[in-house]
Amino acid sequence: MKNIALTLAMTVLLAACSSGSTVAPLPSTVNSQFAGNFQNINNTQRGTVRLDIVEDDSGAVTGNIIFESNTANCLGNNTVSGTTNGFNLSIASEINRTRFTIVTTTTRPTGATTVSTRFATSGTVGTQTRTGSDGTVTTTVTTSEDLTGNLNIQLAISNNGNTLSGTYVTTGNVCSNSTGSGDMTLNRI
Amino acid sequence: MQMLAFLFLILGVTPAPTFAEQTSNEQANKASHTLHFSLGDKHGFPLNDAKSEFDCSDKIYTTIELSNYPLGKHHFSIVWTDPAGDDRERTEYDFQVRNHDQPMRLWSWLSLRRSTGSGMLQWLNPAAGLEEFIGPWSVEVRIDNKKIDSQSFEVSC
Repeated sequence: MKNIALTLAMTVLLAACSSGSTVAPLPSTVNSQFAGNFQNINNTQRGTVRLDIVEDDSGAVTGNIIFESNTANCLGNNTVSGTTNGFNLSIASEINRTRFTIVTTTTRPTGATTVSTRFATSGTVGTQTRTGSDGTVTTTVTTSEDLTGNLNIQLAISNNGNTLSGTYVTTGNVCSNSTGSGDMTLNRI
Repeated sequence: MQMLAFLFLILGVTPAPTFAEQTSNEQANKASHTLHFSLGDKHGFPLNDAKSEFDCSDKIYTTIELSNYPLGKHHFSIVWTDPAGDDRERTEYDFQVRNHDQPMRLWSWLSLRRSTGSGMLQWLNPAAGLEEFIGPWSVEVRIDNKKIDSQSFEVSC
């Protein structure tokens, strides 16, 4: 009981003798390598992102961005450029890639036909027809289209410049509706 | 050039501003700003919802949005003054206005920390160790060492 009273008395004494403090950090430069995660708003695309950037005295930023994802990912690796102002980092990059559309039509001897469509990052443009031993005819038509757009990223600089966190959004036709915007958080490595 | 300036001085004539000076003055005349206090979002960006009263555990953001500010490099500073009138914190940094496409948003944040040992007294008094921070705070924003705004917010526990 005495110990509790003593502890309480010491706490009150310590609290009475010390004063609170405030924190208001200064912004830091982002001249470094960062790695972290990204995830789009409907959580259909996610993975890791790496950012290697150099910042000059005027706050101009240049570097590279690299994405890795086990799922389909409409974002692309490229050089980035942008600016910092205070606690805000704004960078952008171009996304250019070719999307292959593969339409497979299967016609069975009975006349029944099924059509399926899938997208791929590589392929050979053209038409292939194959006839199976049972008389099933499979026709595969592969077409390609060039997708272009911009990736715009807004990140808040925190934790003494060790953390970048914010949002990204794409323009153009590189991503379908609602897959091309989301969050990303990176830490200095 | 010095001779010309001397001649203007003797004649009491003010030389006409150069084109660059005129442009700079026009930009400065069009420049405007807004200032607000808010909480931050999950990333650390200030929210747009303005607040004037904060809890003592909040991270308090001061955000200034500059429109049509003169192009080029500028110096930004925020001074946070506590209820006793003491300047508690100062955040300063340089920034660049590169275009006038959209308003430029600059911010700084402040958080309050309890005094040592007072955390244990928090259940008795939520303001324990933060007494000196309870009340009206004022914030002064300066750009290029010129005061452009000053506003107040309230902290309570």
